Amino acid sequence: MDIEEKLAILADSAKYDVSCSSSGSNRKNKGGIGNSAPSGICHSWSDDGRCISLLKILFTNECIYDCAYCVNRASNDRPRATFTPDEVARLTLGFYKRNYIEGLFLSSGIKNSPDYTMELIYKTLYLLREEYNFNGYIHAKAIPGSTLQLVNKVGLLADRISVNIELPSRTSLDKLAPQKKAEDILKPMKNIGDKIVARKENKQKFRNTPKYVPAGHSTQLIVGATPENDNKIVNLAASLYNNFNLKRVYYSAFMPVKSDARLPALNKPPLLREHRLYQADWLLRFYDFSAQELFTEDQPNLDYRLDPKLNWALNNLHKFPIEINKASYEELLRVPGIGPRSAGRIVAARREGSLSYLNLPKIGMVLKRAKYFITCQGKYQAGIPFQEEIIEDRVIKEMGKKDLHQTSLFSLGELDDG
Amino acid sequence: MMDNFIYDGSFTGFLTLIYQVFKKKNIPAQIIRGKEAQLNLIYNNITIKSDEEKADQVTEAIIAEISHKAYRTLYRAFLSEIEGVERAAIFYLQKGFKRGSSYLNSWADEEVVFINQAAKKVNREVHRFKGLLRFRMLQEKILYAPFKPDYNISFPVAQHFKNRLAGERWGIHDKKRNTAVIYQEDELLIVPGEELAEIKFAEEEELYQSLWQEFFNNISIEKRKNLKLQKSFMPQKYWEYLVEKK
Ligand code: SF4
Repeated sequence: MDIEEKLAILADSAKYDVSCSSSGSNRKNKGGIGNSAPSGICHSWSDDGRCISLLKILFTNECIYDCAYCVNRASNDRPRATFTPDEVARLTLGFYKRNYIEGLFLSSGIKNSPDYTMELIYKTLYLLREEYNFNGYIHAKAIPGSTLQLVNKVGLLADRISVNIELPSRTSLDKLAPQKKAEDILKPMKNIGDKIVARKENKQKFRNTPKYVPAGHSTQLIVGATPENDNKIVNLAASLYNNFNLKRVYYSAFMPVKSDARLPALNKPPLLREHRLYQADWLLRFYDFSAQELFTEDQPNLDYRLDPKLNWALNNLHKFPIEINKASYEELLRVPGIGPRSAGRIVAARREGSLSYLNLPKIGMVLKRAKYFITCQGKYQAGIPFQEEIIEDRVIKEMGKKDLHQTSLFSLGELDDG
Repeated sequence: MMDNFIYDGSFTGFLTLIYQVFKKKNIPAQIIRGKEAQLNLIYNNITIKSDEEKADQVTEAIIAEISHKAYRTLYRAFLSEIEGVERAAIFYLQKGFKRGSSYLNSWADEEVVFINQAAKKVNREVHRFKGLLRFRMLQEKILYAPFKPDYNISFPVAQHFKNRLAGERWGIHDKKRNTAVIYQEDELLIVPGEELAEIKFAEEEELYQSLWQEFFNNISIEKRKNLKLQKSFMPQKYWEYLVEKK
């Protein structure tokens, strides 16, 4: 099989993994090729509007497991292929030189055994880093069930490692991925998290501590294949951030690939739900929200009509309106329509003098949504009475259908302000 | 008596112009880029000759008396070539020299807004092309990237590749302005487009282009297809040199 055919099969097989971020690393080019940009770079956008930053491929899709939700499950009839380490290395370099990509995202099905596969991934990374002196970004998958020692060897070469949880509960995992044990997933995650912390501590003592996944580790959760509600999912994400030192949790709207009695029959992936989960996730990571704040007992799911921050504000209207010239940075961050950037600017600009309503757009603030939740020099300027039903009605009308199609759906590389 | 200043359009030329403005306390009526201005009965035409030394002095003054950030922002704004940017820069500096680095925090100031917005447009395009630029391998084993940016950004874009492609030979060609930046022995050189040799692609080039197209076509998820979204991130004006969109 020639390389073009392999690439077609193994790119097609890898596309359901949503992570494509290339940010958070700062590897320098030392006499070879490549470096990594801390902020991440998109090189193209595929027809589904997703950012292409990395050469995202599987090493092999000849998988011995049979996870119900996966295209590559052993019982699925589809073309199969396996790369060699050198093929992957040369593809990566050829693409990188031409600036098609920021680096490599190497995942894999399980061929022969978890360790056999992990060893091949290790060889590929070794080749790229040591033989070809490649310093671009590399994200590698840790194969569930492979030995930790092997995972750690890969960690010393990669910028990021991820282990996908896929299903948000043990029960679902047992049911849909019977060959994978929850421990096979959680153990390497914990190990990677601990290593990252240990390295940080060592680095303070010894300057030459080698890099260990400098861009951190991440995971992916499939949404909509199993009955877990959003409350459960967001809480799981929060505890992964807190306990395993995770950098990112990705959410992937479930798409049936082969009918299976254990799976719901959806005709469309729940994209809007996925989008709202990403927004909730932003609130955890950049807005200092806790998972508990976003749900109540009788509302265990997000309100898909509204973004979760707006929804929270409407449910907590007693905390508003806040005065732009007095509120703390943290309070400003809680206003719908004010993100870290605007909040920072407000704080800096008002040191130069009290801000009037007319000043706000000039410092780059978008008032469309924020105006309902603020006062400026004591005045409420939304042009309607400050009452819950009226505000809610207004906001929902103004959003119309627009928000549902908003482009932030996949702009995962950038911080959206709001 | 008011004067028109004419300069060569380079950043060095522009800084030399700034030198004149502040040394002679002479704010020009008009600033004209590159071409010879028409003789005018009312105004005097003064041609500014680019002068590295004067330019350096201005650079140092901006950094010392305002801030490094002011200098960077000004440079990026300058690259936008937006109508009126030079005049705005003069008032920006005038106030900056008076008030120091805190001037940059006056977000409502007319010139701060103007310069920031111009710089932002340029920065955005620079960032875009860090991703969208496509190199082609030439027969001489040189990587060659043609593009048509809205703003004059070849140099900052090239700076991004300086460390990244340090071991390669490469060049970036702005086809709109017909200027190129060439990387040679750890240095970036600006050369006029006419001086580039004839472009002949290496044999392997076709294979890599078709591999990339193959990858591009297979990585998209059919059920999530959204061409509008794709276009909003990757506007059609950039497609001409995008291998995957040719
Ligand atoms: S092990 Fe991975 S590739 Fe194999 S079937 Fe399960 S999810 Fe798919």
